[in-house]
Amino acid sequence: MTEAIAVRQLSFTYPDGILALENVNLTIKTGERASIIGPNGAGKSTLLLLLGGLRAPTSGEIRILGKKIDKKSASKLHSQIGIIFQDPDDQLFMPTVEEDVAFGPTNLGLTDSEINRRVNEALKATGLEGFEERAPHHLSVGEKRRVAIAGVLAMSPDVMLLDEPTSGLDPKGKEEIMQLINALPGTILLVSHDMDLALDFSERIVLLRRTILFDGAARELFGNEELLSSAGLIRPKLLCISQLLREEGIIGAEDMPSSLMKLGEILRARNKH
Amino acid sequence: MKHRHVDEFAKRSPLSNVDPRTKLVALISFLIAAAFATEMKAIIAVGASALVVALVSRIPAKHLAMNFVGALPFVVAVALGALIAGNPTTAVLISVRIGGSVLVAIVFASTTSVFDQIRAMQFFGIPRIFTSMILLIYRFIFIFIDELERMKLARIARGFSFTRGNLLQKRTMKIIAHTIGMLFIRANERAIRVFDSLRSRGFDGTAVTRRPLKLASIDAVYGVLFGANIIFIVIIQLEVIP
Repeated sequence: MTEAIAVRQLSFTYPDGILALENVNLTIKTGERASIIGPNGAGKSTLLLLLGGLRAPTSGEIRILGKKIDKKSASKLHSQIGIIFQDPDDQLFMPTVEEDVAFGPTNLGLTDSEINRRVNEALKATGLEGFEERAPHHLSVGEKRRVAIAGVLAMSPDVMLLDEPTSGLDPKGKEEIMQLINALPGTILLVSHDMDLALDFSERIVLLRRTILFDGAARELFGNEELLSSAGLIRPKLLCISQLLREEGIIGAEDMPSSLMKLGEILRARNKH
Repeated sequence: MKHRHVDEFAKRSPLSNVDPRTKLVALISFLIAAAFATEMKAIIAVGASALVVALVSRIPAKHLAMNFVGALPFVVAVALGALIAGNPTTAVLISVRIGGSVLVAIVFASTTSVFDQIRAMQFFGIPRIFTSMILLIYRFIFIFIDELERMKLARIARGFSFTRGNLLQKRTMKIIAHTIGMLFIRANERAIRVFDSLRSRGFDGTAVTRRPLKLASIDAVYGVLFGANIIFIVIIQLEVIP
């Protein structure tokens, strides 16, 4: 597999002197999914802005699909990198859903038939058929989030960066958005401080707190209470419940569910036996 | 929070199908004709034309009245000036002239979606910086209303509200100033995020659109009727018809 994202010795300092990232090294392979977790203010969103070419690093190097990102190439990155921002209200600005989804492809200079095809596909993939003429500011948070995802999907990026994609959603909305995200194709990097969400999304977890404290398998990280605690994080609730169930002998030592659905499957299978 | 739908009647009026460019040209021509109308008969024709346009648009009177309220202070201020000068007839005529112009402008704004208004402006060469700004204001005004509402609720939750008694107190003024300041800070932060988001989707300052504007037979009918009406007002004003 080729490298979709390669970050070397990346540092970033805000104009007010706050050091947000320091010597970050990260490689994401093409087609890979990974979650970046960390407490508030850890530099997660800043890292996404840097990867999207929206901020220039103070030092270090970023390569997207093998190409080094500099001032010149950053302005052409948007066809390769799709960013879904934390607050959909920051992202949606056209008067109708259809126009908003078409906004990116239109800026790419595609033909009308190609734009229509992409818009229709994106609306279908996000379950937004019938919303074409609705005004984005009259939608619910969950619907706005779907429109934001559709807008990025329509640009067919090679890499998708998701910043806290379920923040502000109710449990049902959260579940629906995660189902949608899990079905998305391509390389995806998800940023969140929601441990359960990260566990459900990818096996690979990157723990960031200004610099990378851990990069590896979810189970390995969540078994390291000391590291989690030092980063100001706690274990996912699902893993705590699974541990209790293991201690009570209800599930086996080999059972490591990554989502509530998978835990349900394990329990149902055990009941049958 | 739910907001009033700005484009509520943009697709529900018989005038909705008229091309926004035709409507914009007709509106500006009407406003110019109204501005130069000084004869009583011509001004009455302006007022009557405005009422006919409002009736044809089939926009509910309540909606028109609610939008008219915003322009009312200006109409009243000018009319008051004429009244103070001791000329009540002029006051009435000025009110009719300005009121008629505002009414036709409201009908145009109500029967044309904001996006189509912007496209018509772009077609006639209004600089993109202005049209992009209008588009962004239209989109984000609701977010700032929400922001203000949240700040207001937060103040009330901590026991503060504006009442008639405390409005001119130093502390109240200070709180209003802080609220405005905080709103500017939040607006600035949001503007940076919005700009990042626009750039990430390839925005370079140009509002690109893909729906082509098309003239149809209804535009010819609308243009001829509106043009005839404007010519009629001009003829009366020039006293061609005694």
